[in-house]
Amino acid sequence: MAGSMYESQDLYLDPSIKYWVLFPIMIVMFLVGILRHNITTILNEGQKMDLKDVKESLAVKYGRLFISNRNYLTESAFKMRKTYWYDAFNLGKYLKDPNATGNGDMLDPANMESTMTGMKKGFANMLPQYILMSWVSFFFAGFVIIKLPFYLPLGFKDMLQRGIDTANLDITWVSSLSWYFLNFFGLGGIFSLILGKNNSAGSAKDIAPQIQMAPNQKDRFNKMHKSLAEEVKITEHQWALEDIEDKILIKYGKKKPENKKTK
Amino acid sequence: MDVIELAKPLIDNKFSSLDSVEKYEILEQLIIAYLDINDVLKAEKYLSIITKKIDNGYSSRLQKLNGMIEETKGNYEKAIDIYNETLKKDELNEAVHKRLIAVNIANGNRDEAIKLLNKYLEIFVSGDEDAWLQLADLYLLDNQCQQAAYCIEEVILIDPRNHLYYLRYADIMLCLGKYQMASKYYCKALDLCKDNVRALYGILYSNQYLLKSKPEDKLTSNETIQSLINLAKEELEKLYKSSPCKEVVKEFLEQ
Repeated sequence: MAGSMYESQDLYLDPSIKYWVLFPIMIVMFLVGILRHNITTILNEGQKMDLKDVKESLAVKYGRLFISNRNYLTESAFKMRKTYWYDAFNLGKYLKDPNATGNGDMLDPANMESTMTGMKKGFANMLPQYILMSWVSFFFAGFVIIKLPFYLPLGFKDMLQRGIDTANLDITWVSSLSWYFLNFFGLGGIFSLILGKNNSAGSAKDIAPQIQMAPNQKDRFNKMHKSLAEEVKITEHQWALEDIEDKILIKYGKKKPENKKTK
Repeated sequence: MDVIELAKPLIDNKFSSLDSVEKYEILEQLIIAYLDINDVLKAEKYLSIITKKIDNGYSSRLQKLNGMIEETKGNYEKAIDIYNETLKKDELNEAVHKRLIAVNIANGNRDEAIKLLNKYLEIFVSGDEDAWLQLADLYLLDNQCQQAAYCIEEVILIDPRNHLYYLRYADIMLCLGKYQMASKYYCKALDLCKDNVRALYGILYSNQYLLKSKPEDKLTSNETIQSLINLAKEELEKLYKSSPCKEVVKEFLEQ
């Protein structure tokens, strides 16, 4: 029994299997990938930024910069900015919608938009895969399509002969469903060759993160601004130029580092 | 000129290996290069290539080029109209905002430019150093040193490692008569950029003034001030050692 596993099993495949099963699966998968790339590009359009969107996100960036580089300003300049930006962040001056609340917003029409685009994208990615897989397993169930030119250990039997329940068939034979999976994982390289690096034709890697949707954007910025207000409130000013003169003198060798404190 | 020499064969060649996106980018640069050398006809010719390709769509980038051609022709009013139209449709286009401001500056309409630039910076509040610097320049032309100082402070916030910003700030402080601040910021600039001549001169000047000013305006001791002056003099002398104007500098420093 064990020996027969490695004896070449002579199995003659009908050449029309090649033309009517092997190539069609590959071509259909390829075309679906390209179609999906185009559909995703169409769906992605129309997500336009607003002036206020830019404003609120840039304000966050400004707040971060201010907190990290505050020590290079003079004290008066720092205090002026601190009071201004504390108020601005606290009162939501730069927010798109200062009154946005976090919870129960899924049904708010403005939010429906973003929720819907997330779902649309997810569908555009998942649906073709489901359809293709059921197509292959329905029409070509149990087909043996090609023979690999090399041997593989027994563990690969599940992977290469999905859909065929024969214990004795040599592992080098590949079933139709497995051919589908091989294409599914393998076509990514070809797509990136044809459609460019960041295509959305979708190989295995971008199936997974599709389902999770972005949480409420509006609310996110509101919270960020609130926390920045707190951060700005507690920042202290410590002037970086306090003893810059001494530093210069030391650097040019006019003063010894020890007497740094004598002032 | 270099741009034209390099880009022209790429565009004129019928069987170029560029894909369309790349081609448009190069075309845009080519048009701007022609405008730089005041060759409006050529620029218009290449612009028509793009217009032919994108006949159905509206492109704010294309409008920007149209406006720039009008600018080169000297029709500032028309250019302003074009930019305003474009901004109504695409209010996020930074390049068009900036063009509009630039036209106003070129037109001598400084107040309008300052107003627009302020409006622009209220939206794009962070990350645009050039806009802040431009605003500082405009304020300085109007002798509004306080406002200019504010702008430079913003720039320092964005990039505190650039010594040129500190120099600018110190210059403005010197104008305002805040010699202590000026000296500090010149020192910072010198700290970031060793042997910076302008910073050394700045230290020399500001500290000479500082020595004469009232004691309540000073944060540093007279001793430190004096040693800073000496340091600046020495270093300047060293830097000018091999230059032909050595004598002049020496004479100046001994005053």
